[in-house]
Amino acid sequence: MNILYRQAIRALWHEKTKMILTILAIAWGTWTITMMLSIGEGLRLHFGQAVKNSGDRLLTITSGATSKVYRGISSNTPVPLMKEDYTSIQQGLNAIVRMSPLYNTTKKVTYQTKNFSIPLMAVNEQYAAIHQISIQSPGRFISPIDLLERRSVIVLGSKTAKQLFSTNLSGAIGQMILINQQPFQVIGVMQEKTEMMSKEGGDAFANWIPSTTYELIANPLYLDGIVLTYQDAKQLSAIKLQIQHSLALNHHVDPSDAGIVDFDDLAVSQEKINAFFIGMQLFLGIIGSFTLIIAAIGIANVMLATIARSVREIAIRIAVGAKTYQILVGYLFQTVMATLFGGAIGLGLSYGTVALIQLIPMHGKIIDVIGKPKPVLSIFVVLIVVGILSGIGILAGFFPALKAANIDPSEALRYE
Amino acid sequence: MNNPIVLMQAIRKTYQSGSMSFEALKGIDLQINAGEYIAILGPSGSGKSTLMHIIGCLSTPTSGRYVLNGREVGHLNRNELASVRSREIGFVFQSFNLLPYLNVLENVMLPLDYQGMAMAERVERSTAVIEQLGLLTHRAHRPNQLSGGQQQRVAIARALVTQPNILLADEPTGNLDSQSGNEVIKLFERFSSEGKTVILVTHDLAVAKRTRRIIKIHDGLITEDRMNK
Repeated sequence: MNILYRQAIRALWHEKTKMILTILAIAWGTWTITMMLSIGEGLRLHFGQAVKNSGDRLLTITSGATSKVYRGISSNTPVPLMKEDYTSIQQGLNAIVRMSPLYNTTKKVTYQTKNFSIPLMAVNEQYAAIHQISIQSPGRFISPIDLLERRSVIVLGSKTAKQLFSTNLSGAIGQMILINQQPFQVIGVMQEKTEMMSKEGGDAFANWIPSTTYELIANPLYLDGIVLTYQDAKQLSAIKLQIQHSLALNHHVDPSDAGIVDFDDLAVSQEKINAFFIGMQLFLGIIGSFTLIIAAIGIANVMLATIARSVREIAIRIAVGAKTYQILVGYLFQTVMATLFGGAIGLGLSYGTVALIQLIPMHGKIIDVIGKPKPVLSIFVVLIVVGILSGIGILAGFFPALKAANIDPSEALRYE
Repeated sequence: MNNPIVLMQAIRKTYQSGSMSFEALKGIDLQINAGEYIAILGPSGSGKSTLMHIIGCLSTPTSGRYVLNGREVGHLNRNELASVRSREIGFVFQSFNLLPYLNVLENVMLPLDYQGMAMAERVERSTAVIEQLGLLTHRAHRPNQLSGGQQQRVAIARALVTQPNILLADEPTGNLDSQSGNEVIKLFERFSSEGKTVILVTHDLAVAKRTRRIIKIHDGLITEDRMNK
């Protein structure tokens, strides 16, 4: 290291009591802001993941009704979803990754002495991937063969599985249960996951049977919905428009009528929730910054006092040939060093605190539903904190250093 | 020898403090040739320190012309003055002005640090000057471990380390006992005999009498300029 920087550090050590106190203030400020940002980050990532678990780039289509008169069809005429609609959407759109028809119903389930109503969804084999549902091992989701052969099989959501089989969930596989007095074999149990933003309380409460089986039993006239995933978030509005047109064609209604179909997409909610948490983090970060700014004012004060006492030394350095920027950089270096040193202590403390909080067990009704959010000291948080620290260090050091660099050596050396 | 290293014409310096102004130098004409050994003599408040600071490029005149070693320096900015100082001028102060937390070697090396010289060369040159002044055994000592005479010799070493053309000393014996003061004066005589331009600023006639030219200054004007026998 340049000898002048080493001298700067030694000069810093000359003021050690004040400097140590100031460095501790910076450490405290850093700890505050880091913790605030880490908690914000933890919540943001947690809820972001929860939204994603409910389905990423997922579009749910449900039926609508006309909103205007068109070729003899009056306003408010329902436009139900039909199997033909499903087929034409499937054939007309190449942006679709996965797609499943959807029937929603409620049926009575009976197993041994237990007997109650459960929500039931009839879907195809792609639904698990669409809704990011994992199946506990042993077990599986509905397969193409199940659909082809219209098998009477059922995949249980974690809530129903618990209600029927309490803790012995792996024992559920292969068991026969009765759905409205018809026997169904349990082929899989859903793994629990954190999710948000889904209807009917989320996937944990649902149970799934093959759509073809349901069609055979219930002979429904219409689909309750269609779910699909697509490749690129940018395609969403084009996809919606195409679906609307294709439905209009099938049902002979106005293709420009947006009311004929209902869309429920998570992209918007995901953006909103992300924006909300970024806003919250910004707010927490600003509060944290105030603490740090107070510490920075302390540093600036110590530097001003140091410089006031070192006027003569600075004049000597100038007299022996130090240029303005060399004096400026020297004092700026001292401040930034002190700030970063305090910052490093603060970040270390934050790291320890976050690790400690991770160890705390959390329970409660809300925690059970949404999962456990924990503070996260991510690279993103560290970078922001180091950025703020450097900025504050430079700001706190700059004006005192400028004052030092502009000392008039002739004036300062005049009086012996 | 008629080779002016310092050439001043009608130098004035006015200090402004709010609405008050004070004229420290009222028109100085001065020529100093290379290799001269000069005392600038005057009571405190006479303007001799102001004159010394202008000669040493620590400040600039309010008006007038100053040519240092062939270059107009009267209107240079801070950084230009700094590089002129680091090449041309070595300062020695009454109160030594060493940095307390640096050792002898580091103090002597300081001007070279600001020149950005390679470390090995800095140490080599500083050590040579320290040896020349008989301080080699003290090179790792801090200033507070040295006597006044030793401290002033460190300060002189620091002034010499850049090999300046002019050695400028402000009351160099003012804080020393007579024996140490005498030794310091002998050093200046030695540098002068080696061809360096040495300018002492003093109010001590006994010190002035040992130089070869005495310039008396009073109320901002030169009142006497004579060769010393």
